[in-house]
Amino acid sequence: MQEEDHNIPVQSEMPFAIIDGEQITELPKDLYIPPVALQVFLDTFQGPLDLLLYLIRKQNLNILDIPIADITKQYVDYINLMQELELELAGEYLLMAAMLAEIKSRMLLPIFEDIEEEEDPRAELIRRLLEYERYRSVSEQINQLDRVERDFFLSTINTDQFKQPIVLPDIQLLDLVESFKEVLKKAEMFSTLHFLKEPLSVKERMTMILETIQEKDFVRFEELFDIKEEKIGLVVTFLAILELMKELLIEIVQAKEFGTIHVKTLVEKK
Amino acid sequence: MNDFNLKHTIEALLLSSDEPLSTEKLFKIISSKHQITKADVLDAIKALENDYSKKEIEVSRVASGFRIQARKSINDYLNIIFAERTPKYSRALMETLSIIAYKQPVTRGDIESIRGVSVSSSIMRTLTDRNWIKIIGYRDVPGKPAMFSTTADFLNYFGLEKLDQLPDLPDIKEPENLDLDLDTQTNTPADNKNLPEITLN
Repeated sequence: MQEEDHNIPVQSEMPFAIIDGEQITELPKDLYIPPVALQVFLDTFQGPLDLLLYLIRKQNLNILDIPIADITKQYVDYINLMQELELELAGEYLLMAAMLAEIKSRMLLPIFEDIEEEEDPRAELIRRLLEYERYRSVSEQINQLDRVERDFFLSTINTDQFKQPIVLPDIQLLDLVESFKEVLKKAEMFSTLHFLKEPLSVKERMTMILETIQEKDFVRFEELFDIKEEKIGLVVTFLAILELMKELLIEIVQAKEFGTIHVKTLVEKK
Repeated sequence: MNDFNLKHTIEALLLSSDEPLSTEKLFKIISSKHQITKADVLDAIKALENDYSKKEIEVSRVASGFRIQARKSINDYLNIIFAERTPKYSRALMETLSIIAYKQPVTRGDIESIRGVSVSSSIMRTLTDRNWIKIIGYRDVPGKPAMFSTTADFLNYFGLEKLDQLPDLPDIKEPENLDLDLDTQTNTPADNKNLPEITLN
């Protein structure tokens, strides 16, 4: 029988992680982990800090003395892998890559012994990593804490009889139709009221105004309004005046600028 | 009125209530009908705890007051009854919750700067919906970001009374005090024994 997995020895020689740049593209295929599982694995990182911590831990490196060049290379390899697998690559990951590159470039610059103020370029990153690690580790502890629904089972008596039971009536389609009819009826009443009231009163007001004007021939605009009426009454009067103008039954005259406005009838007197 | 028994009344109230009841609340409820003091309430609760010492239920003291719960010793059985009921929370959610718990009041920005990723709105919604966190104000900086803190319900959920009962936050070593050697660019394994040993083959 033919040995199907003759290439296993080759694979076992490969490091589990991608360390050398040359191996990046091949790794997803050569790893024992199927792409789907690898995706899950990469998906579990909670962000760039988490990924960096993983890389540091995996190689047993001292977090306080990170070999930036190596870590950056590995970090970028992972990002490329994520991109290849079309994982949603958040901008934060790219930002971190830029930050690593910046740190490395600053470390390449000569150090002047006499400038004591100058901080290790890695210091800020280390501070963030350590700070993140604190919360990460404590969150794991909190996750282990006893909790309701898992470790605490609350003892309660059923007190439902004291709570006002909300009895939901059984609604039949007929009830629905019936209540919709009610709605329609109400709406009808509303619209009737609305339409009946206004045209009547405006028409009525038009007649009243015409009568007033015909009696006096010339009336001051303000005189047509009864201030004691409510706003609605004033509006109706105004609408009536506009309506009369439109029908060319009255004319508005102003003798001079800012002067009194007069209303004049256009209907010929008999 | 002679049959009034404070201990039994408190027991029934604790069992009937949906949420833990504080000494003050119990006192307020009962003193409307009976002449009692707060000390009486506490004594009655102690007596109740004593009664329960032979039983598999206990009076537990959490942030919002007292509640009655099953002892952990019978959890094995309870887990059979309530199997598949326990919700699981993601690492991202637990990290966010931890940062809020230890650093409160915090803004979304504070959480983001520690975690290095933007705060997920769905996580914040879950935490708010569970009533574990709440907005306690707005920081007086441009943008007026909301500040979050944890609630009594959060402590109740984890069976705690006060925030300081949470596990200690690990100390941070001040990087300034550390000897950073810029020339070291080798993969020297750290001598930290806590780090997991991973062999690369």
